[in-house]
Amino acid sequence: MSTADHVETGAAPPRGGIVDWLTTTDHKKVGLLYIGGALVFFVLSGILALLMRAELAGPGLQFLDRQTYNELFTMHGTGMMFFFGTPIVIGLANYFVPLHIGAPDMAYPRLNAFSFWLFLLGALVTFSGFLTASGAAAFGWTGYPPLSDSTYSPGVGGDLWIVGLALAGVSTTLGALNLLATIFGMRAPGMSLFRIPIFVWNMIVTSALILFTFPVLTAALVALFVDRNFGGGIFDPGSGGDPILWQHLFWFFGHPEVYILILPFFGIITEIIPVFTRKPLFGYRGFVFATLLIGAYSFSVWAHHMFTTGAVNNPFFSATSMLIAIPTGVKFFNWIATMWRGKIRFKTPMLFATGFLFMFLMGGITGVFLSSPPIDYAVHDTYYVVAHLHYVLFGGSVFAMFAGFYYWFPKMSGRMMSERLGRTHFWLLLIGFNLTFFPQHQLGLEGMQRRIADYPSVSGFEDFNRLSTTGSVIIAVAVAVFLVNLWRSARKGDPAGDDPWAGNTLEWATTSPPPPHNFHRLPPIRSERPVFDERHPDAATTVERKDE
Amino acid sequence: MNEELRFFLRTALYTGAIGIVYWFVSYEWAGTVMLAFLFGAALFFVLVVGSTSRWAPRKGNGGEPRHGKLSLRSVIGFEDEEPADSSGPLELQEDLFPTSSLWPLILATGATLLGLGLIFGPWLALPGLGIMTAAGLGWFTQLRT
Repeated sequence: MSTADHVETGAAPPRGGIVDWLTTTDHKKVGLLYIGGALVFFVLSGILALLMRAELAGPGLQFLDRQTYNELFTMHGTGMMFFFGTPIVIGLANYFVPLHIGAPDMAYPRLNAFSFWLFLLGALVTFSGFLTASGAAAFGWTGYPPLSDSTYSPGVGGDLWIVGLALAGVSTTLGALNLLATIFGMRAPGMSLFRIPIFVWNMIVTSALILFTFPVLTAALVALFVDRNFGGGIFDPGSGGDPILWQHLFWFFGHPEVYILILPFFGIITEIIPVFTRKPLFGYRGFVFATLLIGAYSFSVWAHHMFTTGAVNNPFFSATSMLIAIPTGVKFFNWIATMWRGKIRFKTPMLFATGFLFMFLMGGITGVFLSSPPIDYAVHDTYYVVAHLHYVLFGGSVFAMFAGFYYWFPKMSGRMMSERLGRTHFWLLLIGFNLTFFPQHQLGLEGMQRRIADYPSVSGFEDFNRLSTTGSVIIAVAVAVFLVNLWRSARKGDPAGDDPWAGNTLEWATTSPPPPHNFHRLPPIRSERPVFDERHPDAATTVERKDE
Repeated sequence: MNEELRFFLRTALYTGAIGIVYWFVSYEWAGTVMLAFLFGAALFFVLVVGSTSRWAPRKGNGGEPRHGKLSLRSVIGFEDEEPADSSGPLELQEDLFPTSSLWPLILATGATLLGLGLIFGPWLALPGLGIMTAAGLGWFTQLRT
């Protein structure tokens, strides 16, 4: 059978061999490569976390030495932030942005493939530190000098960390450029910028954040490399340098980075909620405006990570950090308003979306507390911050990621995931996640520092640490259930059809999976939900023409 | 003024304003310089997007170029221009969309070797540079089929 025959019947085209995957420039296959690679690093970095939790289950050192523990938290953070969080965003955007805007592919397909391979190789370079005699980088994912300089972190692991991150950073920057060119230049006729899905709007802002901030990280990494290998002294006070400069450079990148990691997932939630409540999205322009504001504000809050240095203007950053909660609140109210009086179907994607709403809200609230310098002075570098960041990144991004997987897996594979296993995955993850991270708020308030391999038996930290470790095991079981679901559904899942969820946006107007170059026909594009409009012409949302 | 241009114009305005405010509340150089560079980067995109959209003929507009009006309302407002009628999928121009290529993988491998060569020595960096050069030539001369 030819590819055209497969396209006509809607059946999946024959899978290519390894050469096909190595040479593909099809955005869908590149997206799947990104997603697969990101999931591998998610599991790998998760295993590092399990090892840390096993070590912290009781006071004193159990089975790790301090240096190894430092490597674990460094590579857990690096792996999750750079090699899971960012690539999964790029992967999902790669697959779905061209579909959402009615385009046949990304603007620069070969650049797209190059970005993926550079990310993968960069990630392998960073993690190859574990294979060296001196071990992997062990100075935290934030890489603060003087700990990260050659005096306190000799050995090649730190240099491998720098080079790997630089390669991955270039990859991400090129991916963002590609996305912006695609969205601005390749929208189907009728698809104005105020008819694109909110996911695509979020990818516009995310791509702009990447474009403007990853070069700052690259510059900082180059400077650190020069310090470590050529005696640059840029961050060494003994040579006239300033370690606080690293913190400015890193967090000027680092804070927009966490918005890079959450904004696309806000977009995914905004796609899922209207479909599973069977109501139009409440406040489309409010979502757009809020996303733009969050992106803009993210450039002006970076030094709330530096309150305790005494080297920054605390009131300025406290004010801007509190302000950023407002557009996020607008999004929350709009999501709730979308659900209000809707006919909610609690399928697995909607379960995860609802879980996201509660978990991210909790993380956001603790973030507002941390934006107050007096509170931050008390809990900086404690487990309170660890709890906050995991509620926003895991409770936010990861829950929304799973929502997106269950929602879009039928489109990508032509098969449905198991609802039974999906619900099991959700409830195990919700329970395990809260058991792991909620006690860490209290641990932080009681004074348990972060990034420590053990704690004294008289500290009183043991009970909550044991609870937290138990929760982490439940998370591991939940992720295993998901992987089993993924494997079984890909092979034997029920056929999905073109539009199993009665979706609104253009990806549901084509076959599952989509054919090469995506569409044989497009419905008329008159609103932000063209597929719904075609299915329900009597209820279609249309824009009134000014001359009518 | 199209929304793409307004996006970068708003970014430039915001970063310029916040950079000025930040300087006068902190007198801190690192943050101020980074915000200034951000302002410059956003302005660069304004010039690029503005120049390509100002003179480019637009679909559904009789092929007339669009002339943007610069006013505060046009910058921060959200007026959506009336799009052209929807008329089916974009035509796939076969000569512009490569279907497969090994050069991206080869170029990425060369770049990685170059990066590793910065750590381990020229014996890795030079082959990496060579591979990148070959991959670049192959990429730009690849026949699109």
